[in-house]
Amino acid sequence: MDYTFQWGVAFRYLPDLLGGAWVTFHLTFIGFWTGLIIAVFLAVGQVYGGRGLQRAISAYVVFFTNTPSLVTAFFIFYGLPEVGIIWSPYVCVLVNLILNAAAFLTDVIRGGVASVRQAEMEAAETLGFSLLQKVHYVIVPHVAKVLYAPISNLYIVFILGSALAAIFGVEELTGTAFNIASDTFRTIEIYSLAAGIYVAMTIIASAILALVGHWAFRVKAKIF
Amino acid sequence: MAKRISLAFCAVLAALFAVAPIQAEARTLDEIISDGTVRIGVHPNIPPLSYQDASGEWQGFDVEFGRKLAEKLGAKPEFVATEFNARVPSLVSDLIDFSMAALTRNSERMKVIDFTFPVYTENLAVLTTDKVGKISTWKDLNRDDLTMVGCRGCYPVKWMEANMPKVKILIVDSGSDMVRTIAQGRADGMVANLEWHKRFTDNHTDVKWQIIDDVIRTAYCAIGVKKGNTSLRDFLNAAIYELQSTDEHNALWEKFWGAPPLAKVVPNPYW
Repeated sequence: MDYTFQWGVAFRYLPDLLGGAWVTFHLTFIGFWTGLIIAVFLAVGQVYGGRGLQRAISAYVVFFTNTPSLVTAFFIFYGLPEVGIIWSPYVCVLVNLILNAAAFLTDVIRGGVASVRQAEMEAAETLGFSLLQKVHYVIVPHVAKVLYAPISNLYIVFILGSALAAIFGVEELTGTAFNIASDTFRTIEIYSLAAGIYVAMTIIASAILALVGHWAFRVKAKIF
Repeated sequence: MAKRISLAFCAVLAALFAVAPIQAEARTLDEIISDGTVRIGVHPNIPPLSYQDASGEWQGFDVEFGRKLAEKLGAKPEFVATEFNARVPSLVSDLIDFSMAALTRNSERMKVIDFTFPVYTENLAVLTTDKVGKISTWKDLNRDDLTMVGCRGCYPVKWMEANMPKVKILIVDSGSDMVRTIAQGRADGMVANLEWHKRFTDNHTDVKWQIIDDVIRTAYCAIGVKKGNTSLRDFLNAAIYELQSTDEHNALWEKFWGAPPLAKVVPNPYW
């Protein structure tokens, strides 16, 4: 009554799993880095904006950082159609990812923005910098080096967390693994392979982030 | 930290390769009888087949049927929640003695576990709305402008992929989600086991549902046991026959569904 692993069966489905991994990659890549751009402006707004803007941004951040991503995804996927808004499953999951990433990253970046010396901001003001120019030339160079490592770690967390997309009809890596495991019942083999692909994806992402960090910001990031 | 995690993962994978086959032994019929408890895998959330009520009690057809099998064994039933993809690993790793969690029997799956004789049938039929126009058969829905919805881990998805190549297929999490996606206009219809899912249309009374309930295909759900556990499988076959031939089985079905099964299982005494 022993169970014999059939890895050959699992490897036959490797192309399908890699197809799912590709969806995982572009979903999290677009979602996270879009969220980061939004978060930079929200963090600036939270530090330098008026009281009303600060409160609005804080409310958004508190809501999304204290609500399971699964719940907000349910709201977008099943709630919005009740008011006539129907997006494709991919867009629903992407919007949810952006909203969550922006909220978490706003929290991370806010501290860095607040640490920018007032004198530098006043100098930029004197030179007539617009908000965009202040962000580009003063704030980002200052915070990038400090925040690069935590942001990179958060990116890895979001890659792994994107597995919830499977619940909403997006055929990413976990969803694809689920489908194949249901067809073949080779659940252990298929999920082991999927787990291996996730590990490979996160190692590759860590390596690329370390290289980019070193090249762009002189950050001494480690892959492991 | 990440390095340690990676190394740990690699070690686990290496161990899996190295120790195959797994040495965990499924409990034989004698061992279950001696222990006095039988562990039955059921799905936690497909009412009225199996579910936990508000007080946490197990309810449903599979649960009642499992209790009757346990009674024949002379053992106390212990129900274990097994989601679709937990069914086989639970058997393989000896967490349960047999699985009743809506297991559709087919040859691909029989390479991995053993099945008893069928316990009940799954009958594919069509649920859609008036938005697709008047249809008379599932073939009318095989159009490239339509999206059909299926449930992740459920075999009708495979059937639609094979037989409705023109449609787009959306896969969601459960029967109620499938019906909701159609009601909301995200999908146009489904070919699925309507005995299980039709009741969810009651939640969407504003939708003009269109149901073609001629059975397209009948599949058979059976009890799954670990490969090679013949003593338990043979016992279950005998017990299933007794419950089906005395019509207890169909009475139980009507209790939970309020109607006889669309396609009855013919009791088989030749086990």
